[in-house]
Amino acid sequence: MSYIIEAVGVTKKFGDFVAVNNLNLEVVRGEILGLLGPNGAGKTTTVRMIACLLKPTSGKILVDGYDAVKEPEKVKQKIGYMPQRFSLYEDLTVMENLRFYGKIYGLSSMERERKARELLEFVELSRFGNRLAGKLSGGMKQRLLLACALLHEPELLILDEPTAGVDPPLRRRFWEYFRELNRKGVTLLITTHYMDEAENCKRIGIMNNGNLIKLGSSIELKRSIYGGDVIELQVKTSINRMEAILSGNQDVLRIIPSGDAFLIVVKDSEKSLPAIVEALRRENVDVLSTRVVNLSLEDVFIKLTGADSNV
Amino acid sequence: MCERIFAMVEKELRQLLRDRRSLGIAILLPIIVMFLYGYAYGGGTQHIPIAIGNLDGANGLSVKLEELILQNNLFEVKKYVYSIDEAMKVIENGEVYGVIVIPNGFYEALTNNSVGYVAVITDGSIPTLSEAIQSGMKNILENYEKMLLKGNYLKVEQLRIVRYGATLKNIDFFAPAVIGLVLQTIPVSLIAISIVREKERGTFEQLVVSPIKTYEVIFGKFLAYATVSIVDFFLIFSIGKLFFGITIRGSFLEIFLASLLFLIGNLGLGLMISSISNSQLQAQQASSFIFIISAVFSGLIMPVQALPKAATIIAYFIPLYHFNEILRPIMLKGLGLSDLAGEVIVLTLYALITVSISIIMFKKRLD
Repeated sequence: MSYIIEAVGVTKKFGDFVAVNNLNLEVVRGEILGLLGPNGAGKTTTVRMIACLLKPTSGKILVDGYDAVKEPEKVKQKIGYMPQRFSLYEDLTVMENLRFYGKIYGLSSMERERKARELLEFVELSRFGNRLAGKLSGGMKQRLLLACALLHEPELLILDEPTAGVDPPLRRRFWEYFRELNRKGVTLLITTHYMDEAENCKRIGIMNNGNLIKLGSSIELKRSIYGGDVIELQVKTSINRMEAILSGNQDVLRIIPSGDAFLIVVKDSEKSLPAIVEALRRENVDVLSTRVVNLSLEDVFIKLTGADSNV
Repeated sequence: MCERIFAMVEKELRQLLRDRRSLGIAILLPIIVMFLYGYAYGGGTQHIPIAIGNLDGANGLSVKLEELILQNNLFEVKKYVYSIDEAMKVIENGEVYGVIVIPNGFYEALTNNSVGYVAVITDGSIPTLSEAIQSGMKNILENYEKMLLKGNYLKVEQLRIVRYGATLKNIDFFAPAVIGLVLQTIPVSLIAISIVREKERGTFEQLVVSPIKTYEVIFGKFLAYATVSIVDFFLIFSIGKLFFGITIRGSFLEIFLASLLFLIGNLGLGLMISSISNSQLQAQQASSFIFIISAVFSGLIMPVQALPKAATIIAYFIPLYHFNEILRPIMLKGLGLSDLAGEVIVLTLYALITVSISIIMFKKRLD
């Protein structure tokens, strides 16, 4: 089975409000999948359903083949979950929290101690084992949460806005942790509203108003805006001439005039750019400048959700 | 499974020891309440249920005395008895707190010798009431003497007979009620607060995503706060014994067993409160509300039998009232649990109902 999560037609309603609408999502074992969207898009509701914290109103969620509603205990053993809010005991020390959850996950006392120390080292909290969790800084609390979520060596780590309110250096550090875990074979499902952070994910699902509107790699998503890569050319010629010259090139999909330049949509910019420049030169058209347009996920997001915000 | 429950118990106790507020409830509250009631109780009563035993038959003198007793609003005559045995019985089973016995030959003695006596038998297991009946009767007899006195010498002696009395002090009566109140307040508020706090601080979320089962969470909390309450149980009895020399005539083991039963019901009640409360404040308020009602209707301030009729009906729905009805007879009259089967059944029902409702409510709440 290559999918670690399979969600089929999942809907969650709170009263009349549809938080998640007919969601279909497959998470491939070993990938990092990011759910990107503004607050209220339904990301947290989605991951909470996968973590068995909420029951879907309709639809089905399988985690490693186990039904999240019918066999939550099996699912819970597979999942490490790191919530948005600090959810450990502030009046217990760092080690006491880890020991408590070690027992809850059924680790033997030796395993518990070994694993707790190993994880504290991993998240760089070794020196703070005896400090009360409530006396840790915000970033340290987040790291402790991560350590706690990893105690039972889960195959799937669900992180709900793991870097919300975390300063940039620590956010980078967090992503180093995540990538290292991913190298060890842990599948990560991450929600975020930081566009730049989503770039770290192998695949990104864009959510808005409870709908999963697009799913794919960062490049795939960006290409989807115009149907391919975009090259900007500044040339002194007419649109008709351009179309005539480039009509023979199978890779050129569209030519859009843009001020004194042209935007040329191609399947793959790296392959097509030299060929296009070459073709224009042959026809004695002066090419003043060329540029591959770097679309951001933000552009993708605005393009995809633009229709909604105009309503 | 057991490991998870014990992990839960250990965690709860560790947190309790670090939380000054909860620790205050667990340790200071019983001490303060015990000393407060121990030192500072006093109060008046009326409508005390009594019986009249006129063994002399209806004659001018005995009927006159009965009338005086009936007119006095300190007493409420609940019953008439016709022998000393019967008089003792109605006190033993708690129907009344005193019996005024007009002995056979009362008329003759008064008319021939101008000296007679009236026996006043009271339930010494409630010293305040016992004392109130004795002194109230003394006033009645003085009035009675004055009414009959027509220049002649006339004396009616009062024969004081105090059942269970002898060495009983006020604290002896209050000790069972205070113990009951403490054994109710502590488990109810501590378990309710501990659960609501987990909800409030978001720590429940981490528990719910872990494989721990609902019943393991509940059972763990139960055991932790049962342990704390049992510590309190011994604390109260130690204070009572060491500082106030409270009387324990029945079996201490049976007192412990009855307390345990009561405790389970209270933990269930606390769990119910936690299901309907969204904040620690609400949980605390709900616990205080129950505390106040219980205190009024538990016989702590005044014997329930001495309250107005409507109030006594409410009292039957107050678990603490039933617990007191077990604890007091065991401690002061030396009765056993087998003599108090009815009350034991009520407490068992209380435990069963609160625990099952709380589990149902708790499960629903999680979704």
